[in-house]
Amino acid sequence: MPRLLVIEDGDEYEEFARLFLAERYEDIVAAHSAVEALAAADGCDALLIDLRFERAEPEDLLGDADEVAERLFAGDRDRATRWLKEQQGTLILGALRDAGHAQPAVFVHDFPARRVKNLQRLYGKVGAVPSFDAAAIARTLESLA
Amino acid sequence: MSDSVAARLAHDVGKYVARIAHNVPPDGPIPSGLVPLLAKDLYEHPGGGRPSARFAELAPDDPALRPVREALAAIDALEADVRAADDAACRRACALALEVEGALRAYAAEAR
Repeated sequence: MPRLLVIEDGDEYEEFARLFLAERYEDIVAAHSAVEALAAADGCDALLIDLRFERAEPEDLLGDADEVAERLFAGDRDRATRWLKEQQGTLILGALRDAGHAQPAVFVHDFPARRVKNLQRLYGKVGAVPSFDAAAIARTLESLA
Repeated sequence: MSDSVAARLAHDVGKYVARIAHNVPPDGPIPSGLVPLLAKDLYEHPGGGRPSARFAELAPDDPALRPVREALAAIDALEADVRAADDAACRRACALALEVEGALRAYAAEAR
């Protein structure tokens, strides 16, 4: 039974997947943080990931805001927290890869081509679809399988 | 225009307003089960309020964004008919939502 793990800060991806991807993925599970994603990833065949976790609470974000503030934002913790929210999907994917989860992963985000290439260099089987186009998402997941 | 604000507009408004609109069948009546979800995308922003309100909150006063503002206003004007599952209104709202998404993606790409 193919299983899709949806990683997002709300419920829109899960709702979308149950409506439009259920023919390909009989089992759809959702995670709303890195902790939940790492707990749910075993046995999943593919990952559908949101990039921006605007609604996540700071304590649920993966990443050390103080470290990011020092490294990237001259100590500005607010900007660091915003950056963690804006990049949370890729940070969670990195954590999943570090834990040995190599499933194909697709972001619904309009990444520039060079960014997709960089994600593929870092994380292997990664694709991106710019919109909630179910057919395009399914094609991309299948092409990475 | 910061690329951060343009990216938030494309993500917070464009991507979600067109979520169901991308996937309605091209022919025939829109399945009744999709209408509440279409209405959710069009009138209930994930962060609360309407997409048009989220747009107003985020968007700079840039003439390039006027068509987006107008399309979102047109979507708002269709609310009663969309919620009543009027097929023509739903189709028109879907077309407008796709316009909004396309325009905001292009705006974000230009800001990068």
